[in-house]
Amino acid sequence: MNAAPRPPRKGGLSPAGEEILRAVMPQVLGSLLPASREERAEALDEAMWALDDYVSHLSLPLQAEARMLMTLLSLAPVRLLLLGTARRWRDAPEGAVATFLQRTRGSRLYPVRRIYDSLQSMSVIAWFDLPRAWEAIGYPGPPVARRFEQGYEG
Amino acid sequence: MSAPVIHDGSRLEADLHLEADVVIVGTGAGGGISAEMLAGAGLRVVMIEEGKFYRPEQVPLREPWSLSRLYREGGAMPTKDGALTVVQGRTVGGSTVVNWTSSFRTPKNTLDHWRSHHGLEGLGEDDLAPWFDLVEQRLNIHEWTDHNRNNQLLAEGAAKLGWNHAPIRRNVRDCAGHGYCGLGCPVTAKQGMDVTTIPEALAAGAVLATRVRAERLVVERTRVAAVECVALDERGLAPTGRRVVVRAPRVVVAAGAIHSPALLLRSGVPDPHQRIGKRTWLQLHNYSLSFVREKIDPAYGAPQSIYTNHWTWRDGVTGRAGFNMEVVGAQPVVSMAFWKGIGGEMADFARRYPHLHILVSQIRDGFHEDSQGGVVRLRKDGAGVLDYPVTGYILDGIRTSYAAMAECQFAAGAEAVHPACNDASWYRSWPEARAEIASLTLRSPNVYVNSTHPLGGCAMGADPRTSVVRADGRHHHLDNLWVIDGSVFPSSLGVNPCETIYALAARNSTLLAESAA
Repeated sequence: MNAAPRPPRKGGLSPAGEEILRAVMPQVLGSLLPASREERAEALDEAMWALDDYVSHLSLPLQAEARMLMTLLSLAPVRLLLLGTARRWRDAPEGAVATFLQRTRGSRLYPVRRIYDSLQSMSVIAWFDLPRAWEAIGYPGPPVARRFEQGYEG
Repeated sequence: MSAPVIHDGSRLEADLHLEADVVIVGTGAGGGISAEMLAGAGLRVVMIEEGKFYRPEQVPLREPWSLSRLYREGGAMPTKDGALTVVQGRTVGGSTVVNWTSSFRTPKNTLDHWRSHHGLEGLGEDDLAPWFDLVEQRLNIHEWTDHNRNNQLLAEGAAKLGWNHAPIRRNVRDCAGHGYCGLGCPVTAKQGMDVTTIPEALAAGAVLATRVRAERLVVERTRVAAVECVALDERGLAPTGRRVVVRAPRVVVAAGAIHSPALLLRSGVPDPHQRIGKRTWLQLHNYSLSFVREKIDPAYGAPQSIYTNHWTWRDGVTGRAGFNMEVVGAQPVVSMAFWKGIGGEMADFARRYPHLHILVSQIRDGFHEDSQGGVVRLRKDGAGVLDYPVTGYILDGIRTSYAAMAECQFAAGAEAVHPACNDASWYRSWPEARAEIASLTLRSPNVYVNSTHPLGGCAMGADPRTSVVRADGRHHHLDNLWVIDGSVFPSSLGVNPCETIYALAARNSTLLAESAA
């Protein structure tokens, strides 16, 4: 059976945010993500849809704040400082992203620790929403069947 | 009987002007009960609600869907400095749609404190008993006996330590114990306002406007002349340009803590002693994670059905921060949110989810002079935001409750315990936990705390210099304005707040109806 196409994105997640989260999520979730390249890409597509839907329902000021954070993290000097490389997020070595997360997590600076907190939380929300994430963690899913496999309108 | 009148603000094609005997802003625990009581007394009622009216069959039982549609700010509204988040409903029925149904009468200690420290007469245990009886009957609040393993573990730990513990009462009818309370009950077992009082009020002729946000009370001398509102788009984010104006001789503000005071602040309601928004409480929630050998599947079964109040009043009512203790049983997104690890650590943690036992302590605030709570301020766009400092008083409560929860979890057979704090680690025994917690670094946001119980900010009290409304909810300075919700509490409660809000709303809306007769 062919799955129905997902409804269009709602503009909650900015392109900069998507690029960063696609780099960050594998480092946050480790072996919970599928190992195969295609499956992983498909899983991340689903996760991005879920996160876009979630963010698109936040108040406009909070959405703007999230976009600003992602824009800031995309700036070359910030990348150099926090990521230790001038490469774009999509090209950053996995090790650099992992180190970035460890450093921000334990930073002495409150605003830097909040960056870790935001990226880690968004990764968790996006991933554990997906039914494909559930088997690995022993969650059989809701007891009442609902037909919303490919996302929601509204 | 005619069909219920519900205006969906997102679909309005022209401005809407409504007239009523009483307008109620908000449809949560306070507004919902008030709507039924007032409509039942024969008054023409208009309800204003920023959220949308979802029916149970529309809820897909996926956490981010519920968090983003049924809650404010995705269930994680940040306080001013972002150090913690507040969880509040934003839908027809408010937080009663998504709460975990834990129902308690107000502790006697709290009511006695309100009388002795805030001059509140007529709100003693005996005075309120008939109102508690009434709402318990109306919402089928009764003791739950079918405890899941997650809750049994709290009972077992508490019993071993000799701590007082007891079953929690829940407002459910024919509950199958699916465990999805936080997502919006899929089977209408939960007796939230959306399936009880609001349909009843509508049947009695009340009018409901959804996706409509109250912007301002129009104050003329000593009265509120009208409530000016804006219609919101489908997602409830941006004004559509349509306006809704409600004229009524009586106005009930029931938008909950943070948003009731914010509405009063936006409106320039007389506030000679600058009390509006002050002393806002959180009963800050602090968490401890543990793993047990057996499979407990914490996502299923009534999420909260056992509590202990061993620590709530241990140092006296006005002493050090006390806390009650309950369990957390939730689906993966919410459960995993307590763990801030990454990579292998995250994967290992998540794979043991069926064995995850989480305890929560709710640290009561507002009883000690070092506990002044938070202050509601207005953001540039006019929305309320809470500035809640995590003071030494609260940190003491966090550290003490980390230790108490760890002790309880080890007593219940936990193999390992980890405070919900980035700077902690897994402890293998109670002596190790006790020693480590004593010197644990407590800093934001690494200490994961939040609150599902924002209260206060429009305190009731006898003295206008220290409060916003009287004991009957009526404003000290405006004759036809009432506040009926959790924002009127002069301190936090020491228990989950919904039933106190129901009972006080039943009482004060009845007094309002009598005054209108």
